[in-house]
Amino acid sequence: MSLDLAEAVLAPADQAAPAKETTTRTKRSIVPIVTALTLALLLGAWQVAATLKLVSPVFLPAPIDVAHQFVTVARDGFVDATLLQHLLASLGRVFAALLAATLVAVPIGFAIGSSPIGRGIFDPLIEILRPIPPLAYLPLVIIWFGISEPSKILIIGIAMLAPIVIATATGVKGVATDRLNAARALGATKAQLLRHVVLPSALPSILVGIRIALGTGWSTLVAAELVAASRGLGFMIQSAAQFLVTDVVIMGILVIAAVAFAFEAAIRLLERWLVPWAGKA
Amino acid sequence: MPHLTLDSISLSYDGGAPVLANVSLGLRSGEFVVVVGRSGCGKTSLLNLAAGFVTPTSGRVLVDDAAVKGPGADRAVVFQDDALFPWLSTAENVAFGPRLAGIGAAERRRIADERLAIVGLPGLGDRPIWRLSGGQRQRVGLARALAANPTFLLMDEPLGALDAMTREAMQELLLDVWGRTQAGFLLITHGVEEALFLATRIVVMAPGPGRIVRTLAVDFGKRRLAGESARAIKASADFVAARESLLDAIFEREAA
Ligand SMILES: Nc1ncnc2c1ncn2[C@@H]1O[C@H](COP(=O)(O)OP(=O)(O)OP(=O)(O)O)[C@@H](O)[C@H]1O
Ligand SMILES: [Mg+2]
Repeated sequence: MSLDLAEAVLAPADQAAPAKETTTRTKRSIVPIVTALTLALLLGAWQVAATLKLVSPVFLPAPIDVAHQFVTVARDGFVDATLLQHLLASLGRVFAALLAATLVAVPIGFAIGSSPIGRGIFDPLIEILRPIPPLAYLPLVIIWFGISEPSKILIIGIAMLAPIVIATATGVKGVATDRLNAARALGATKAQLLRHVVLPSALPSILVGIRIALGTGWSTLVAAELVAASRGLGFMIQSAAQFLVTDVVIMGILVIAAVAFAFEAAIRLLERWLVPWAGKA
Repeated sequence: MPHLTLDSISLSYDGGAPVLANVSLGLRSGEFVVVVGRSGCGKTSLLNLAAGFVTPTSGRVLVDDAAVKGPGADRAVVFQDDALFPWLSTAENVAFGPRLAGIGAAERRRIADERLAIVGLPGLGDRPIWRLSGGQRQRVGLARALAANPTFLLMDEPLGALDAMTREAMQELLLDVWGRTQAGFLLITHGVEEALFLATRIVVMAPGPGRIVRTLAVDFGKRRLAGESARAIKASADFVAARESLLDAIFEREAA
């Protein structure tokens, strides 16, 4: 380490750079180890607390019981549906909401990003909508649309709207003038500019918006599934809580967390596949 | 013969101080006009007017006596920052103009390969452009402009960001491409030698407000195309003398 430092000081700037990079890389490779240790420690503490019965199992069931419930619910189900069926019900709602929100939000983002009139119309609406917590408009949605499936999708969809609109508008506004001018000087019409330059330029930003929206939507899910659902992870947790089946509650929470993590990873893969050039040119 | 004319142009942005005052400039096919002048004297503004990105406050921009209403494929532009489309392959970038014009994929590919060969990048069509060097990207920008078969090629410091050696190679390339096409070239540069080496006519601008203070006819480029070596030309007495008088004009010194 001290040798590294001496080299970095003695070497000319351009040779010092790689040495610094190696140090950062070493530091980075420590991160997953520390993370794994932390998780193991937490899990261990949890198991010990449960075994010693420091807390009543109704409040804190042992990790092993939670794992057991995972298998049981996956196989035999809970409140009339297996874990997979609950999961698929939730995923179905979130993706239906994502599709609807994207179809609405991307054009609105384009309008805000590319025209002063569009900005004048939609900017205030989105700014009003954005900070409202979904639980606040949930009763209104029930009054208007009842407790049907669409109103659950609507609640999640509304929560997803603002992040996608804002990210799209940012992407559209950020298109380099030279890039637009280059296309115009090659004969592009207004429609061609939108289709061939603005849309692809804004795509990385739109994907960021979708990633954020998916996170927001997923966390809105439990709230949406309080509305008389008969399936879904949120509904499962809710029912389990009413019967004080705490291990199912915790299992459900962990599944929700795992799915959120999977979303994040999936969108990052999608980004690498769709916009490999982002940030490089 | 096609000609692009800036006729008594004045320009001020958003009612501010005039950036250009009463500028007139013509460009014919087969000409290579190079604009030089100190930073901020309105060179880019002039090119943006010619390209149709900006409309003049007064005066007219004409192509063959018809008023220019905006950008068009007859006036291709090469930018200092290459302004390529990173989501398209190198070949698709080059064939962007033909694609807008509705030309089919096979023909586009043929055009792209041909233009890439002209700029010295044969076989690089399938590369993502973010895997190209700065010099290569600038060549792709040139190939993209050429693929539109422009009547006029407008270039705003296209070599400004390149290192000295790449820059010299690109100067030779520009000259070579100019020799092969019928197009009229308009180039903005800060390089005095570059201007002398490439131009058939050099236009010197001065700031406050931007105006043309001197026009100079030169033929070093033609001598290069006729086979004389670049080094011999740049070392020749008339090149050195022309450089001095050009520098005098740029810095508004009295000729010694
Ligand atoms: N879009 C704009 N809005 C307002 N003023 C502008 C704009 N573009 C340029 N100007 C001003 O007009 C003047 C000329 O600018 P221009 O970019 O044409 O100069 P230039 O000769 O190309 O300079 P450089 O050699 O540094 O590129 C400058 O004073 C600049 O500040
Ligand atoms: Mg400029």
